[in-house]
Amino acid sequence: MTRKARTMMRRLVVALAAVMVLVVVGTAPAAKDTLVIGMPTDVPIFDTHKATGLHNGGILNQVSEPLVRLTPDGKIVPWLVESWAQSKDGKSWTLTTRKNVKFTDGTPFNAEALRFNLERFRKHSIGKATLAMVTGIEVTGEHTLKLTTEAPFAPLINSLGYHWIVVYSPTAVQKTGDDNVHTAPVGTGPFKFVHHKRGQEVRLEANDQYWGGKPKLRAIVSKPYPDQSARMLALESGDVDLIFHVPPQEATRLARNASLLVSTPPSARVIWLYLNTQKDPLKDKRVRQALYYAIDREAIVKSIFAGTAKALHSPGPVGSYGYTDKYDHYGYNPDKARALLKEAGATNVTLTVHHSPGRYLLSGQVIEAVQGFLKQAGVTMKVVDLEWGTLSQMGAQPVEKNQLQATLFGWRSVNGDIDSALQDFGSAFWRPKGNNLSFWKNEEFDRLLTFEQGTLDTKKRLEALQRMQEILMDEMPALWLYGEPQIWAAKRTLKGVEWNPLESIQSLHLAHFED
Amino acid sequence: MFAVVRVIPGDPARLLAGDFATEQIVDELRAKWRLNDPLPVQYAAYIGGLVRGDFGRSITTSTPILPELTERFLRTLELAVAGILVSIVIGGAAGIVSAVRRSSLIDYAATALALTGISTPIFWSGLLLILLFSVRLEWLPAGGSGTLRHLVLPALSLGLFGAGVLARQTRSGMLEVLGQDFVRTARAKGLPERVVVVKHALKNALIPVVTVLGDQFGRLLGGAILTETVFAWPGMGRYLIESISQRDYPAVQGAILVFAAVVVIINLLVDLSYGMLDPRVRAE
Repeated sequence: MTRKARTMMRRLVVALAAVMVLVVVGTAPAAKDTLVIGMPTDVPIFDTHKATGLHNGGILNQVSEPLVRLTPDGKIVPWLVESWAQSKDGKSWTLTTRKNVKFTDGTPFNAEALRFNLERFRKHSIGKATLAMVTGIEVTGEHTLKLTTEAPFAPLINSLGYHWIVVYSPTAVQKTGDDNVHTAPVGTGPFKFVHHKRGQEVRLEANDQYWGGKPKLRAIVSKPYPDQSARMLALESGDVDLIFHVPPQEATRLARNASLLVSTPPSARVIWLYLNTQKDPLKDKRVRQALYYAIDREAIVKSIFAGTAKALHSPGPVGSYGYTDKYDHYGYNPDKARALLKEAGATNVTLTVHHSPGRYLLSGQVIEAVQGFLKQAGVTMKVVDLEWGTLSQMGAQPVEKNQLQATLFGWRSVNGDIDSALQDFGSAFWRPKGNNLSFWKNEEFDRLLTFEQGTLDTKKRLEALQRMQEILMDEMPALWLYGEPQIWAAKRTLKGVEWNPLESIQSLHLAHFED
Repeated sequence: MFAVVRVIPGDPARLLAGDFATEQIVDELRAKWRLNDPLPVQYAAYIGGLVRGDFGRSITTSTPILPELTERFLRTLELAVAGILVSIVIGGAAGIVSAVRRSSLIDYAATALALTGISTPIFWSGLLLILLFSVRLEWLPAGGSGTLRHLVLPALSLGLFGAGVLARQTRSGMLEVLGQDFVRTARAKGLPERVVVVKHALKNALIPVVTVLGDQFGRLLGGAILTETVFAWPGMGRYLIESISQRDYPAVQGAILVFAAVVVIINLLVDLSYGMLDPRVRAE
């Protein structure tokens, strides 16, 4: 009897194995002119003007291109806007658009198309505040457009490099209707939209009429892999060619794989510990300085981020226009920290830090490290972990209702100019109007902010930006910890990929696989 | 459910607007999605829509929810059905064999495997499967969906989880039945052992197994959330998780509604299947 049961079992196993083999065979290897990208999240909606989320600009921008491009070292490269000039009074800018550029539906790209898209961006984008200072947009010629601002605004061209300010064919937008652009987006980019299967993949195909030359790749596919281990395994197994958001410790492991290449271009994201200067004992700037002395930033960068992050010596980001480290006299010094606390009469200090786990790379470990450092200086730190939605709502409360004493927040410059980081410490930018969670006010700082945003004199502007950093480094309304790395890994044969500090990829028209 | 979703702290408009949005933009978004309306008004609007088959629009993508929900639901169904098939084949076979050859080496091995299956978290077994079949052997894709090949690993990982429970249940059900008089009678009639085991014993042991199976299907839908994340499978589970973290109220409501409906339908099917398996239930 058992023999028969065994025969039955054996048949089952054979049948199962046969199915597996059938499924496994019948496969075709991916052609080498298709680039498959593994991202942490799906593109929420394939309409850049309505884009949300953090990391998909690089995919969207292959179809709809930005006006100028920012490079990781803070430079501006002309793109769809070829050149620009500021008027004498500083209140208007003339932009000249690139000639002989066509959208992939044949519509010519010109000043009128640019105006249409700037208006559309200002209507829909959650990033529309980037152009809030623009009061007028006027077409002055086939290829010239005049932007007027209320007051002179020096970093305007930097702001135009924001990768969500892009152009779509006005004809196509009219055809699909403003609500449905994501179903058939038409841009000027090196790739054309094929389809977006939600949660599954985005597929793009080459635009052979691209103004920058025929793209070398024939197609790009972007797939979401929400689990980071699975994402790395997808790269190691060869399913995908390029992935984003590799954990730093894993980066070292992947780098040992001879067929892979790990890239860590600079990122515009910086991590700060905001201190609420309206709450005791943080009202006293000596206490705030003491906290900074107590934290070993270099150790955090080295041991938690395996050297891939960058310690900050001012609000940052490191490498942004105007950044300087010359006012950082805070070496790691727990004795000095204790002495300053004693001087301020702050004994038995308890600091409650709010934090949202998983929001920023390895922030949980950073919080623990900070807790350890502060303990050595005699400061007890309590950590309150909150889910992001909850924390962001608490953070939005005005000063009299705001319960946050100290908060770990990530911040990202969108235009490569340090002004955008400094601006948030202006007293006009207290929450909820702006992003100032420190509720700190300094008259000289406010004056300098107005001055540097309005001046045409680049030399004086740079001096103001430096003086503002000097004030912040003395006052410490937040502890500037480190700049996050953006870590990408790719097959070594993939060439011609360049990065953008906003955690995205530049135009991929030159990308290709080497044999 | 409508209320529970809204009790969770957090503001969809603020989350949508990003880390550093100005208050004005948050207000605009709130007005656009009518988040300032009193809850009863929002509820009435939602139910009114549902009655007309309108699940509303997603706050995150501003696209209609129903088409996406349908698409995602079919993907999860595909995965869950494949997973349950794996459970039945592996768990059922292991259960029968260990009952028939009770206290043998095979029985112990099957028991050990079943316990491993029950206690291994899906995300871990999933990663191990990827490591073996995708990275080492390069037989199957590490994630994604679209072809039958993409289905194998997630179904296996999901199915192994259910197989353990099923194997234990089948084994105890079979053991009980195998000791009964009618089985002895069947053997005494000289029927081949295969017929005795499959036709006489198994059929009678099935009722508790089917109950577990129905229960298991609900758990598989839950497990699908993890499997879908590990294998980048575009199903409902991931949709629900992503929607919750964005506080995308209409999307969360739609997804939970579908999950609830599925569980009700499965329970109904389980009840109906009793009648098919056991004429006595039908008579009552």
